[in-house]
Amino acid sequence: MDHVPTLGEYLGEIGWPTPEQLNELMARLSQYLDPLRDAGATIWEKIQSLVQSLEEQLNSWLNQLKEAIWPSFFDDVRKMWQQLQDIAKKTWEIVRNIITDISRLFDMYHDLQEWITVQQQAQQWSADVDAFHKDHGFQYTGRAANRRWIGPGADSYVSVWPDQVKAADRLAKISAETIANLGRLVAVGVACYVAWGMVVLQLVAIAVSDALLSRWVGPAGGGDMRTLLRLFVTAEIAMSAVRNVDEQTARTLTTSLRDRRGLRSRDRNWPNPLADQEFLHPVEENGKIRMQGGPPLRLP
Amino acid sequence: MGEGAITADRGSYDGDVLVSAGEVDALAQFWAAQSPKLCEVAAILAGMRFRGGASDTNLFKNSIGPYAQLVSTMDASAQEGCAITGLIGDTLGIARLVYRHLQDDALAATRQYRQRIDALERLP
Repeated sequence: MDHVPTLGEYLGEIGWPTPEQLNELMARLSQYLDPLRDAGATIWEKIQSLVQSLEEQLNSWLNQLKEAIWPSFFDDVRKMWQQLQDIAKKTWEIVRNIITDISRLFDMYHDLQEWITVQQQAQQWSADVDAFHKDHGFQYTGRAANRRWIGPGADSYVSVWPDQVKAADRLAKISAETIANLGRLVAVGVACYVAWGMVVLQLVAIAVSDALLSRWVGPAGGGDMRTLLRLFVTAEIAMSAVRNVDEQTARTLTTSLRDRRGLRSRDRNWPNPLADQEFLHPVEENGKIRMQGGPPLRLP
Repeated sequence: MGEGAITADRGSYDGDVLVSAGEVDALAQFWAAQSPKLCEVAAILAGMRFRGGASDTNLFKNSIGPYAQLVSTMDASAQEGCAITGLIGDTLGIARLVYRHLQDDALAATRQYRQRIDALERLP
């Protein structure tokens, strides 16, 4: 492997990634995992079969070496082999378990881009509604107004439009929170997949090495193992980072969900002036329509 | 003072002063144009993909549930926003017709408005 990113490099990427950083991370993930997405489980079956053949091959070599090599060296080799076997088995278990989440990660990334669009549109909508009404003098009520429609009906309307702006602002705010939450989740998810991907690649590199036996009994074998162990530890830490961020994200998403600012208690999702008798509404009397609004009539 | 056909005649109202029908025209047109923008947002939210059973995921099992709930709520919010802002535009459109003494048109528009109000009630 040319360059093994350190944990620090990963953590640097999972703080508050910018869209550019996320794009770069997704590109890196694709580099490792696109073949997997395209080929489904086939490539993993191949890796599993490679790991199995490595196990068989090494066992047979170890049996031959038992007689030929002095015991202390054999013990070292056996320890390394045991480590390799443990890592290979654990990696296979974990990778098999998280393989279903690959599509989730791409789904999350897709949603992240969509939330950015939602946020932009909600902000634009809020700004447009606000600007239009202020341009037409609808920020003032009663006699203070200089607009061209005044009176109780107009006052009723004036009390309504700011709620619409608040609702759009709320949508933009929740979008921004969701972008941040998904961004962190995608970043740690990508880091985790890249980390496990590199463990798998290292295992494959060990498994398919032509000069396996000579590497194994020489210093290079120990170097391979050290690299593998380092990658394995990194991957374990990356996975625990995903779990932490996942739990944290669940909590903050729930908080976002409960954030009802911009709405009144009786509105389920969006302020509805039509549910208020004070707001203008058409009334049909004797086949004719008139507009009615304002507070309820107080009968003597 | 305008023709005075828009009146808010409950309580002690004297009725609204409408200097120009163009003012209400502009408002009706404005809301009619804003409504589809929220429908578009609702469509985007409906197309979100990171949803589904928490049992299908290993890494993101805690967040997927609240996320799906958040998306559903915001989708419902945008759908309602789309319908409600459209109806605000309809209300002002009827006011404009009343102002111009186009009673037949105002009657037809009011019937459509009521159908839309019913549709709003049926939103999930």
